[in-house]
Amino acid sequence: MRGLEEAVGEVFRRDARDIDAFARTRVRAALERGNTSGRGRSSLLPIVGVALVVAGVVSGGLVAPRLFGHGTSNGGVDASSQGPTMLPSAPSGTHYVGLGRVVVAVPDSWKTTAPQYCRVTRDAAVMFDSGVVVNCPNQASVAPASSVLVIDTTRAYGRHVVDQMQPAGAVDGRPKFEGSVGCGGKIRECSGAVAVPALGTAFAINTVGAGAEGEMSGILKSLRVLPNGLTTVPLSTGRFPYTPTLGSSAREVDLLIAAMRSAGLKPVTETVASDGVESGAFVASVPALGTPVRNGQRITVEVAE
Amino acid sequence: MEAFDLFVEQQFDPLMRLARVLTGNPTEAEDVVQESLLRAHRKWDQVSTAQHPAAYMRRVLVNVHHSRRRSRRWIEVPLGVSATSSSDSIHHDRGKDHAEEQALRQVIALLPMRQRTALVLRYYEEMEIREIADAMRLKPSTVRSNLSRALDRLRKELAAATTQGGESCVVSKRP
Repeated sequence: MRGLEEAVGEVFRRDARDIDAFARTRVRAALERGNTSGRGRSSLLPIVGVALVVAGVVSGGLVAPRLFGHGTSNGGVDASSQGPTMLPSAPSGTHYVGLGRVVVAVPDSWKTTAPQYCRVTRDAAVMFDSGVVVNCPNQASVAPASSVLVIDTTRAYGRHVVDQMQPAGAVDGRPKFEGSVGCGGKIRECSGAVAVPALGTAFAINTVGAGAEGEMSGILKSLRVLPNGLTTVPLSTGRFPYTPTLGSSAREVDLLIAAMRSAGLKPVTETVASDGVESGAFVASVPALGTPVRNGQRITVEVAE
Repeated sequence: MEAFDLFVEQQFDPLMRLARVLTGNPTEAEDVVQESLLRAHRKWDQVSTAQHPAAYMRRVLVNVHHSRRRSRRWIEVPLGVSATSSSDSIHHDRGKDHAEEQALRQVIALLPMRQRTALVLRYYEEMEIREIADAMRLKPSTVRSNLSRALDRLRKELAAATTQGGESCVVSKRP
């Protein structure tokens, strides 16, 4: 063998070249979002929380942490505004939902807390998708419903999803990717996808019914990057990520609250009467999961009494 | 572009490479860099006014790596490759070199954290003993002794692996 010291140096230099080309994008996306789910694990969460506070949650929690100095423009919402950041208005009859600072507008009837059976809902819904495959009996018998699956592209599954998409210009100054839109079936059904990988977010969209094409087009066009100072209420519990729904256990409520804290929000719990739900189980979040809020905003997590 | 943003642009690649070599794992390297940058952001006043901001960041990264390793009981060790896996005589020497390199990588992965870090800073970053001592917050004499022990152990382990045919393991308890 060559000189040992030389060989050691050579091994290190070879290892140093083994870096994923997208590592920079992922790290920046995670830093910007103040979210370390996936690659970053729980040990980092308190640091992120502190970093968010130190970074800029001042003036009553209305100014964004600015880890990076990107300006965005967003339909009249001034990203560089020094004053309180305004929450964006979604088109009539819709509301914004998303992950971090990336949102789409969905019809008001689509909820983030729709009851799920094996990750399938009977009603139109918005939910986090971690890519976990659930093998459920009788799944085929559940009629398809419209949905927006929200995906974290800083994770392996999310990266795989983005790999299937093509660059499609930019949204609010950030590169946008889109998947091809396809429609068909006896029950009219369309599927499409859109992503802003630089901010770690993708949406897989499914629309069902007579107006499926129009609904798909509307959701794709509604993609926005929220200005600095805004974020969204976490849609997932982080550690075993999926969207809590009515009746999710007290343990899941704890994980959701931790995810809210790590996103720089101020969760408080309130007990409410809720028939048929076990004491301490999740009932609702106000504002709802996935909706835009100001950094540092108070979020009420309702649990069953 | 804000100062911190620019700093990240300039420092990301060297930090990522150093983290990759220190951790031996691309995924863990990303976490270490991410956490280090968050710490840098929290102490941006200190980082930005440091005499050598890059050296300051290396120290932060080494600290982050050490704290994360301390909290773990298990480490991953790369799978080994048999030195006799190639029957093609033309490729035999190249296969042998590769096997030796893999064997060396495995033994390095099993070194105690301080010894491994000292090796990385000395033979990858090519830092002087005084600089390594500063980055690791150790006395120069302790750095020298860590380097010396690390090289001794590498020699012994490699000699043993050669006589035993280069057996490998997948996961090992943290030394």
